[in-house]
Amino acid sequence: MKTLILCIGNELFGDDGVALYAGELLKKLESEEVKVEESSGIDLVERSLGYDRVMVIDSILEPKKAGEIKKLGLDDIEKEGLFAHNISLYQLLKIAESAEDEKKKIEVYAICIASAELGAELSEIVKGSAEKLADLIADNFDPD
Amino acid sequence: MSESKKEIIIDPITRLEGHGKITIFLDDDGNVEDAYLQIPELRGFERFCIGRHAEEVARIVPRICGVCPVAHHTASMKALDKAFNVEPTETAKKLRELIYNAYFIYDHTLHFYYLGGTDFIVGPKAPKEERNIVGVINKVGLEIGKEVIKHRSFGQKIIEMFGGRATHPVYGLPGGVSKGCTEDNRRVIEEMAKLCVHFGEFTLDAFHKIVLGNKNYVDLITSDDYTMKTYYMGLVDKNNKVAFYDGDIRVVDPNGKEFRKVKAEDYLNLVEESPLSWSYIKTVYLKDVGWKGFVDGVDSGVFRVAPLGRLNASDGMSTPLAQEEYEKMYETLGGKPVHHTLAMHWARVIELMNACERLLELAQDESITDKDIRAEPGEPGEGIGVVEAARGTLIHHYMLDERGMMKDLNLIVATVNNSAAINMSVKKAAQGVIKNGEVNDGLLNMVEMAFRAYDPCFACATHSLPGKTPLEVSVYDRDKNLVKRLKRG
Repeated sequence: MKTLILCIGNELFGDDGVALYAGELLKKLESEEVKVEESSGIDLVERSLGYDRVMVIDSILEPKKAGEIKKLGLDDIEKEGLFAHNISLYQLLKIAESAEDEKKKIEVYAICIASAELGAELSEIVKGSAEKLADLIADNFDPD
Repeated sequence: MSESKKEIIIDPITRLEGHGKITIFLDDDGNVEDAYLQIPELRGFERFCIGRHAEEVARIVPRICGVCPVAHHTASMKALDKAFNVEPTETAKKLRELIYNAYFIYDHTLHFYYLGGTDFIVGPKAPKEERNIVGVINKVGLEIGKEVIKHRSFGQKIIEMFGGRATHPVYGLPGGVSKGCTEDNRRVIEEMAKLCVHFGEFTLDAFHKIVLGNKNYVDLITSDDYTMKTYYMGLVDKNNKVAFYDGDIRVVDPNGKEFRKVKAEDYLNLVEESPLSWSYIKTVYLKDVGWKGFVDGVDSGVFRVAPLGRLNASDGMSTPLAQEEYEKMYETLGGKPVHHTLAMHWARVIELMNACERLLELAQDESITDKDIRAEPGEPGEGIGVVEAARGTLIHHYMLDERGMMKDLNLIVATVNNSAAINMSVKKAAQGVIKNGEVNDGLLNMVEMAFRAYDPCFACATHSLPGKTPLEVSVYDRDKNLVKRLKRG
C-alpha cells in the first residue's frame, strides 16, 4: 500500500517540532512504497495525492497531558478542534480522504505538548513520547 | 474601555495565518464607536537569527511561516546577494523567478479557494459550518475541487524539484541557487505550466460568474463600507509592470499619481516603522507624508500593499491574459486607482493568471537549463532584499560582520505594511454592518471579510507560531457582563 507518513510541525518552535523528530526516526521505514515527509499542515491535501494511506503525526497543545500520545479518528479531530494555519485539520483530512478516485485510509497520531516557544530543543518528556510513538508505528507497520 | 461602552471581541480570527483578535466598541445606541485589530503574541524571530551564520539565516527564515516560506527564503537570498556583494547569474535569476511564480500559484489558489474567496463562493452570510473549503467543494463539486488541488500541487512540486521539499525549501545561495534545471525537469514544468494557464483562465471565469455575475456582491465590493482612499505600494519592472521577484518599489498617491519610485535598498527613505502600544504588530507609514493616525486621504501616510496595492502601483501586468483582465477590472470599477478593499480578490486572481503565464514563459526559455547557476560571493557587509510576497511587499535587511555572521536584521513583512489599513478597514466595515446593537455570526463575518481580503499573515507579522484555536466572538454589555458568545471552527 502506497503510504505517506506526514509529520506536521515547526522544528524552530520547541515541542511543536515533535512530529518532525518522530518522522526522522521513522525514515527507516522508507521504501518505494513508503515516504516520510514534513509539512506545515496547510499543504496536507496536495501532499497526500497519489497515496493510498496517509499517516499524520502532529502535536496538540494540552499542557496538562504533555507527553500523552493519542490516536485519533476523523470524528475525534473535529471534536479536538485542531487547526493547521486556521484551516481545520478536520476539513483538510476530509478533503484529502476523497480527493482522488479511491478513498484514502487516514490515520492521525498526536503527541500532547505543554508549550511551543521559539527554540530548537524538544523537552525530554515530549522527545521520549516521539520515540515511543515511532517504535509503536514501526513495530505495527503493515506495508500491505 | 469606558464603562459606558459595549465590547465585542472576535478572537482569534478564522481563516488567516496566525493569531489575531478584533475588538469592537459599541456606543450606548449599539453602534460601532471604534474597532481595533490586535495581535496578542510575539516570538521574536529576529533575535533568534542574530549571531548565526548569514547563510544559515536563509534556511531559518522560511520557518517563520508555513504558507509563505518561499517568499522569506527568496527575500533572504536577495538580501544575501547584496550583503555578499554578488550579482546572481542570469540563469539563477530565471530559476528563482520560475520557483517564485510557482509559489504565487499555490498561495493565491489557497486564498481564493480555501480562505478569503470562500466568502463569495459559499456566501458571506452562509451558515458558519459551510464557509470553508469543504463548503466550497460542496458548492462547486468534487471534480472542480480536484482541479484546484491538482494545480495547487503543481506549484508545490516545482518548488520541491529545486528546494528538496515543498514546505520549507532550501535552494537559494548568495549569488545563485544550489541546483540547476535539467531538460527533463524543464519539460515537466512546461507541461504543468500549460495546464496552470488553463486553470488561471478557469479561475477568472469562475470569478466573473460567481462574484461579478452577482449584483449583490458587486454592490458589496463597491460599497463605502469597504472603501478607503490610501496610497499604494508594489514592486514594478522597468516598464512599471507588476513584478513579484524583483524590481523598484513604486508608490502612487490616492489619486493614482506616482508619489515615489525608489530602489529596494532605499526603502528606509520611503517608510518608517512605529510600534503600537496595544499590539505586537508595528505600523508602517510613508515617511514623507507622516503618521496622522488611522485615517485615509492624501495627507495620511497610510499605504496598502498586497494584490490591489501592486496593481494600483503599476501600469499593468507583464503577460497578455493578465493584462486583459487588469484592463477589465479598472474599466468595470471606474478607473485607477481602485480603492475598494474587496476588489483585492479580483486583483489576486489577475495575479494568479500572471503567475501562470510567466511560469510558462520561463519554462519555455531553454536557456533556463544553462549551467551557470551561481556567481562567486564577495566580502560580507550589509544587504537589503525586497520581494512581493503573495500578501504584499516583504523586506529583509541584514547587517553582517566580517566573518559573515548576522550582526543585526530587520524584517518588514506584508501584513505589517498593511497593518494600519487593516485596522481602518475593520473599523469601517464594523461601522457599516453593525447597527443598533444587532450582532450575529453573519454580520461579524462581514467585518472579518474586510481584513481577510488582505490575506494577512500574523505568523509572519509577529514571527509567531500560528494559533490553533477556533474563532470565539464574545459580546459584553456596558458592565462587561458576557451576554453572547459565538464559536466558530
